[in-house]
Amino acid sequence: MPIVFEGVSYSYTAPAKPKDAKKPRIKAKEASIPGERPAWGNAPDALWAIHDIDFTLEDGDFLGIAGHTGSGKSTLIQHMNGLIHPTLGRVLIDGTDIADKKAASRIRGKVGLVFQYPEHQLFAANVYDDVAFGPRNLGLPPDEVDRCVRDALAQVSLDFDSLRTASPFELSGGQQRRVAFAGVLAMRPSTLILDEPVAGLDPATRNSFLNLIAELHRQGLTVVLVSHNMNDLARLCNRVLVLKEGQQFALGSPQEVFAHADELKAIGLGVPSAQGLANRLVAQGVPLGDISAALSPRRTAANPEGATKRLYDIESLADELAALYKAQPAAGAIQPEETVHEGQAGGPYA
Amino acid sequence: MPEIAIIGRYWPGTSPLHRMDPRAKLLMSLAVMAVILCAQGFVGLGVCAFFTFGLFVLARIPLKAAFKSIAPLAFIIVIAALLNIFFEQGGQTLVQWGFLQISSKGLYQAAFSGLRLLLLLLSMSLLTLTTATLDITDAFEHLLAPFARIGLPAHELSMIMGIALKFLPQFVFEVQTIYRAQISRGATFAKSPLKGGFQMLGSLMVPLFTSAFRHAETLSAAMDARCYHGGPGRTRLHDLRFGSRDRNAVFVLSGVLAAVIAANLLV
Repeated sequence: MPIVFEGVSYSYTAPAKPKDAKKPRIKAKEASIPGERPAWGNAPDALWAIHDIDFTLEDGDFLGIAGHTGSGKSTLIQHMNGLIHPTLGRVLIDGTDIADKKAASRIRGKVGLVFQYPEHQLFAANVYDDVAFGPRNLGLPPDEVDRCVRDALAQVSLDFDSLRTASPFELSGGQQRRVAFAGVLAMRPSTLILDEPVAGLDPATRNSFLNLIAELHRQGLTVVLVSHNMNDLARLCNRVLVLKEGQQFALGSPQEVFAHADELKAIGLGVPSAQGLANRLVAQGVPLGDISAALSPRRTAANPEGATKRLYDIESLADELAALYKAQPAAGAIQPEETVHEGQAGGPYA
Repeated sequence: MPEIAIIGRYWPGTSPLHRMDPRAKLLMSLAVMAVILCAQGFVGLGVCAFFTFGLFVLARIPLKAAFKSIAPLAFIIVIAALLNIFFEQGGQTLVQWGFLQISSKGLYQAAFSGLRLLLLLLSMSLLTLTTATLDITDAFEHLLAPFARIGLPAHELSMIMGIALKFLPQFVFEVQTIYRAQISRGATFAKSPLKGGFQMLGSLMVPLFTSAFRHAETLSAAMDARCYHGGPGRTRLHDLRFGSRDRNAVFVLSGVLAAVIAANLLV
């Protein structure tokens, strides 16, 4: 069930209405009437919340979306299940334009959208009813609903029997988020869209949540992850989309996207920390990723931008540094011991 | 969910009207309403309309924005006009349709009361369009201060009012988010309340209330951290002062009142 964005633009000043879906859409010129300002998001007088977005979300993708605050991430993902409709362009799911209200409500069970702080949307008297809200809205029979709820709670590793009658408001923050998460999973979506799913969680809960998301992706779900954390994006995603002021700034594999460290920095984003360290090492003259260059450090000096040819995570960076150290234990120019110190510096326990 | 229009949302500006003392503005807007209610004929209303539109020009607020801000209340005008058309009888009968009849006096009354209501709403919205909510609550507190002697908690009342007004946009935003989240979970809000719609409504209202309590706790902690105690002796950064602008406003308004009374007597 691929989701295709075809030149999608969205404007708060001239939002398209579903009933106009059959008429020709507003022309760009007409949409540029100065009017009310958007209540949040981009620069107050920017016309487009998102502009000319063009990509396809394939089945089995793990797409990361990054961007500065107000760059249109939330607006973009709300197009994916027809909550908002593009002012220009169209969103196709399985080849059907979801500007149509009926088509949009049909796909809502298939495309699960988890908003930021989903625990703030809990409402039912007990966990069971809250998780069952989605499946019931889909019109499933009670025994089917029951199975959905059991499966969903098991997926988020919550105990069905001890929690089913508990009030969601008595749970801890992390458990509340799990319940809210289960509420979306219970609809058995084939695509899961997550807006900052680990914001405000403690490190342990955060990790178990990210592992849960990775596990769901392994089980065959298509996942879209909006995050400010480049480490998470580099580790989990197979594709990354970077937005800048509502425009598509970069789209590609994490290797491709994070190769442009300086450009990312210019729009207020960073690169994964291991990659950042690798870039700085290269800029300092450590011949990473290029064994032949290790013999003549001058060659890396021709690469002042500090971009490396591959994307490093902590393990691969450590391996490479160890390999370099073994290759040239006596070379004075490299001094890998110092880089190890640099990596640890700043910690209070150093 | 359509964006919820807020009646008379503050329209930032630096016009003389914006810079008037909020206390004076609050009292004057009451006076303007009294003047409009004084008018007994179209000529009097015409004077009021001229004056009201003049104020909008002075405040540099486009008329379109003015009408937009009172649009949610337009139904009151329509209902009032319709009631007058059908229940005010007299003069020539123009249309007779079953038991319904429209007379010339009914039409006249409908137009008159419709126009009067429109002017009342416009002049009321002018206060909130040109005054920030905090200034309005300050003015409110000052005007209630004399009653504090007989035990009226003037400061608390205005603080409650101010906080409520300040949080309105926040809650509008949150309702929109909750609404979208529940729609994503297959909720349909078009259903009748009797057919399972209560649960739908609950899925909106319960999160809204929990968030209101959450905000209340955070806000009270934040106020506490800033040593707020609300008691007497609290000073302000910007003290309210009456100025020449406010005196002039009294003169202008007296002039308008005189003109309206003259119109009532002469026409």
